Amino acid sequence: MNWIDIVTIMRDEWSIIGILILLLAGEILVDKKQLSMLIPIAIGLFVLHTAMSFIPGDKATLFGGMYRTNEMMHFMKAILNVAVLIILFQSYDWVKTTLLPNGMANAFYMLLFAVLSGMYFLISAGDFIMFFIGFELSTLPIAAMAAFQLKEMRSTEAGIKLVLLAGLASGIMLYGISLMYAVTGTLYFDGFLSAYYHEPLLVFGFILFLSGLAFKISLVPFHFWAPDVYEGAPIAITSLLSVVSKAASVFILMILLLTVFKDLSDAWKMVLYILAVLTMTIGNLFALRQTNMKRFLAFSSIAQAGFILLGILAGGAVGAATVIYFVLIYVFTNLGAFGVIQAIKDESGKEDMTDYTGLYRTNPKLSLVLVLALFSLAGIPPVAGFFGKFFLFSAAAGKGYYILLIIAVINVTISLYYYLLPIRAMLLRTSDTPIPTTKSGNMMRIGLLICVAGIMILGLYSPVYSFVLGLTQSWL
Amino acid sequence: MNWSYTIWIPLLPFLSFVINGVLYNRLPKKLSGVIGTSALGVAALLSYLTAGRYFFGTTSAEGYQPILAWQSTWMHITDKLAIDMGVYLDPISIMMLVVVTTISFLVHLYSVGYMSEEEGRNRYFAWLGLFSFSMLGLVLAPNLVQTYMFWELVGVSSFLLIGYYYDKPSAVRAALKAFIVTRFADVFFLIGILLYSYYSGSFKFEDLNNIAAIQAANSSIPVFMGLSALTWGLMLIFVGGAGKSAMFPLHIWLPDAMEGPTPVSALIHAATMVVAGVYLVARLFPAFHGSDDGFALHVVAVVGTFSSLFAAIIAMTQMDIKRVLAFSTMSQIGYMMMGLGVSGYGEEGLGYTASMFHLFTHAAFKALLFLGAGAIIHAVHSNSLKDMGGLRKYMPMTNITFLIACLAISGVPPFAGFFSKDMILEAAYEHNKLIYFTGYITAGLTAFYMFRIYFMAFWGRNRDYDHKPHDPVWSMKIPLIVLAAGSVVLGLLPFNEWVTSDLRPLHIHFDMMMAAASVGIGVIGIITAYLLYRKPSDAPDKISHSLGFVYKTVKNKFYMDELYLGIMREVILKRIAAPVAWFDRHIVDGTMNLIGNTTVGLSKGIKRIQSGDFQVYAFGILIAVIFFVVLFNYFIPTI
Amino acid sequence: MTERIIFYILAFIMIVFSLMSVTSTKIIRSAIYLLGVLMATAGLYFLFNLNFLGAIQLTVYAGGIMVLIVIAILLTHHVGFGLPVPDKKHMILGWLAAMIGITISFFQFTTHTFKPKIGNLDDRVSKMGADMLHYGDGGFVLPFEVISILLLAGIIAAITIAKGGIPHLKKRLKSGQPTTVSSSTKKQ
Repeated sequence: MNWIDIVTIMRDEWSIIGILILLLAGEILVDKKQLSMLIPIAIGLFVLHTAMSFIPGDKATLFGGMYRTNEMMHFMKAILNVAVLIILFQSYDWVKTTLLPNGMANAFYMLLFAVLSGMYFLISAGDFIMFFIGFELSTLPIAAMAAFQLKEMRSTEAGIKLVLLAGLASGIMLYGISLMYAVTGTLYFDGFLSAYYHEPLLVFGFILFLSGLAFKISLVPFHFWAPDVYEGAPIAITSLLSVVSKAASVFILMILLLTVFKDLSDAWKMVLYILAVLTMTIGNLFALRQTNMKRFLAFSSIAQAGFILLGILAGGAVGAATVIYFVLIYVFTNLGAFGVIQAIKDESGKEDMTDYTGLYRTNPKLSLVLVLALFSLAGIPPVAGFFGKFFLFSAAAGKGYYILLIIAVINVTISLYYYLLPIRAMLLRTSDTPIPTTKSGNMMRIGLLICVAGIMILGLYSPVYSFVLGLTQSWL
Repeated sequence: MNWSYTIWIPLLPFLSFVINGVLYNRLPKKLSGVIGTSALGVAALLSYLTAGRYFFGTTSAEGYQPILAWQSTWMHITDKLAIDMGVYLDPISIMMLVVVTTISFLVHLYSVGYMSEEEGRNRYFAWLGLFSFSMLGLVLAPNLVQTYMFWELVGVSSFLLIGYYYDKPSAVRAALKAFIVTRFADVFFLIGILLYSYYSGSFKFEDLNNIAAIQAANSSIPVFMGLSALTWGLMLIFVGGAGKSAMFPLHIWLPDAMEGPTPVSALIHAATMVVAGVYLVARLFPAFHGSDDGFALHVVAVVGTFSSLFAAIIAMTQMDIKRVLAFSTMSQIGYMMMGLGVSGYGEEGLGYTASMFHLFTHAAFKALLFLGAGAIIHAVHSNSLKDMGGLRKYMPMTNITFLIACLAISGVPPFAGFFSKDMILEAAYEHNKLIYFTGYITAGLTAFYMFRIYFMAFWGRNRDYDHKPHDPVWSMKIPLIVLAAGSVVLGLLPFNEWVTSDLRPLHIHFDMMMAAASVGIGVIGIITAYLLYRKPSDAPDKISHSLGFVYKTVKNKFYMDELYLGIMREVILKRIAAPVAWFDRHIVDGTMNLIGNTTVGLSKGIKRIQSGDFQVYAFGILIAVIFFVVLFNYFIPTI
Repeated sequence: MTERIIFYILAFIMIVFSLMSVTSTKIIRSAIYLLGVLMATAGLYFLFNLNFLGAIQLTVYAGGIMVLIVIAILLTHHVGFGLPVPDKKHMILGWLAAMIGITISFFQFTTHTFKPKIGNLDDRVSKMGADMLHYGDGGFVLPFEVISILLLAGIIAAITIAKGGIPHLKKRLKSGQPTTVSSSTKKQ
């Protein structure tokens, strides 16, 4: 290992930290009145960064095993980059109108990039120390960002709740890690379990550890924080939490369970089974009753996380591929939906489902994007979401999880009902006081366009799945 | 022979959809109909060409061979398993191709006149194009995944078409109901696909139908309640088909779906979408027949027969002309299911041929009935039979075509329906007498309720109309005439040569006695209707009055809708959603309120951050952790 | 034997002070009790001959961080500021959960045979410094650097929030109103 290796292999990390430091320098050096010029710089640099992340990565282990990467992890990071990029585009107007006057715009970008770097380290972690630091780095700044909507009480409350409950989850997780360390005597993932997986204390520690991750993915019954935080936080942060943060945590959960904790599969399969059933069902039942669009999407995204567990349960290269593919689709789909809500909120300040009545008359394009996204979430072919679910279900069926599958499919049906509600309100109804025609900024349009392209292309253009499958096959 | 041009048959309607959809506001009003109609016209011509070349050009000693006209591998799932998109030609798919393109073309043509006063015609024609495309894609699918995808797309586009009058709440409700009920059925369909193809290791119909090979490849197929997993898979697939084909008890959406524009009903609810379930069973017929001695096929037969009788009984009491037709459709599809259900394979496959034949002829006369009803509704501005009567004087052309359709559906020779219906009854007679008699009685009921609406609309009471009704414009007349001609002559086609279960020609014999019996019951039904409704009288009211409770039950469709609503309310809302809501209100909100109230006097400032919901949430998380720890360390030792 | 007695004394101090820290209703007292826990921890390090770690624990945690916490409390609250007494039900449930957790942990620890880590624990300052900057096996330069990003992010977040001032929060704190939305406005 030499310095050149470290620079080239960890280029994603270096580049994002470089942008972060550049923005920090800008914050200090640039005149207060000119701070707005940092916004295009941040976005522009991040576009370059995202483009760079599509150069295929290498398989390597650095820092004595603390950092490891391969083609698949690199692709995961690229997915996260795309998601953050979409959020950057979609939040542009909000940042400009709300954060910039308070001098918080630059901080928003710096924290966002810090979170992203935390997710990189989380995915690439080679031992529990790096894992834990990545975990914290990808959680704590979000709590501050959730409180960014300074005028809104709910926003502050969201931030405080997140930071306190995340602290609790971290505590539980750290306890679990220390117990596992006590049993195995090592913190490195490599050779972690070789001889010890029969120790009950290890199972104890492992369950605690898993609870921490379940908290972050907001699986029922570790989800209590999610709806309140999602509803209270600014929409950009809600998208960050419910899409990017969830995606990163699902990735690391999958990586750990399928490799590090492979020998403990008897235990975690049972846990995931229970969590999957609870998450799908409770998430759906609560989503049925929501009237606030943000909260509605929050619960629906909790339910979606339950479906992802099916792929992890199926395991193997195929199961892993279905998980990554589903998350990829989920990124475009959910961000598309959140983008529309953000666009409408930016213009009219409304986010209740009843406000969306007759939206098609005044905002045909926005409502069509939302319809597309909701169809994809509901899993109606031929939009991408159908394939995501279809592959997850096939993977689970291939491993004989029929009862779980039936529960999942029943939940898909329930979800169809509530995904249709906003569609019905928008397309098939008229309102006396519709939301006036909104003219979104160009940045928002680009963001939504990327989402639409993603939903359409992933549904109709097939080699993506083959590519993902190739990655997971070379990984496992 | 080159068949690759067949890909254009589905693509042409798709182009119509794209053009009409994209140029939504910019297209001249008249042009959208022209585009749609001509696209479908060309597609129909291509289908006839294909049918001609296939049925007259590819005969061999082995019978007709399926042709994969076009294929592209679309998604690799694993090395062995892939999803293909393709065009699959075999007798039944070509037959459906002809049916769908023809009816769709005629409906497009008819709509040019029918919808001339409506706003947003471009949207209407765009949805029609989308629907035709999805239906053709479904018909031509070479594998179950493509079938399922287009199956759902058909659902979406019919949702849009039924809800076309979106300012009418009942139409929106109906669209939603149709979508949800069929989607509910599709859930089982999807599970069935996954279950069945897990054992067959393929989605392709050739592999799925080769049941001996599947059983050979899997040494142990699990058995549940005495039936193999394959049979369970097929039955789940049939649930999906039953949902789309409005079989009992998933039929509740069909009558309501009549809220859509009438030409749409003619297309979707007479000839194409609703027979998709029949088509699906026919597609997988060898599998249905071969698995567990055809147990799944018995289920199909029973469900079909019961639905057929059930719907016919309800149809006798309805006063809305379109709803009568809707129940009649359900009844006739039940007939087709019955035909499939009683069929054997190969030389004994009379039921299969009969069922497909009936699907074919039914498409003609049922579409004619709907379009005729559309002409009447257009003229009278009402759906109710009470507002009609004596129309024969005003609408002579509609009268004649409607009469032809009624004769055809009643099974009067030499009209088309006679041949196909008789064949189904013959097949049923050889299989099971009870099914035969049920079908036989249904035939009589069918003749009765069809002539009931015929006499009530065109004869019966003469009345004064505000606007004088008249025959429709030419673009609406032509489809009526074409379909009437079809209803007369289509029965003479040699279907047993073309469409058979094993692709080889089938020898059939014509049983004079049987034919006479089924004509007889049809004539009795017609005569009864003639006596009751030919002239205005109060006899029907007296009869229905004397039946009292029974009549009321039937008129309310055996209270099926109420039953479902009751289940929804009692079970889903009260037993499931209510406890959740209760938990929500009392445990989550309640604890918060409790805390809020008890601490209000004590705290100054940062009250709820420290003692509010946060504590409840943290407690919940802790309990969950403890639950899992206890579970795995003490109750389920995993090691 | 003496070592054992000292260990139990320190452990007892830690448990008692932790409990008092959690249950005290005066925030400043909680902070002081926490100081006791930290100092007892330092005692444990000394007991195991980890002198450098013990010293760090004393100077950084018991010294620096505690002073920060106390100053922060003094700046934001009145010294005698009292926390509300928690609801009875919550107290009981909380204790119950804690007891179950302790019981499970206790049984787990007593049934597990821990293997002592063999080898000399070298805690010389120079060795630790080298480890911190070493990037090969057993080096900690990567986590060390990433933690610095975490700290940076924390500082940025804190400054931003403080600069933004959460004006309404201050106002409400002064006027004594509750700081968060009341539960009646919550929809679920």
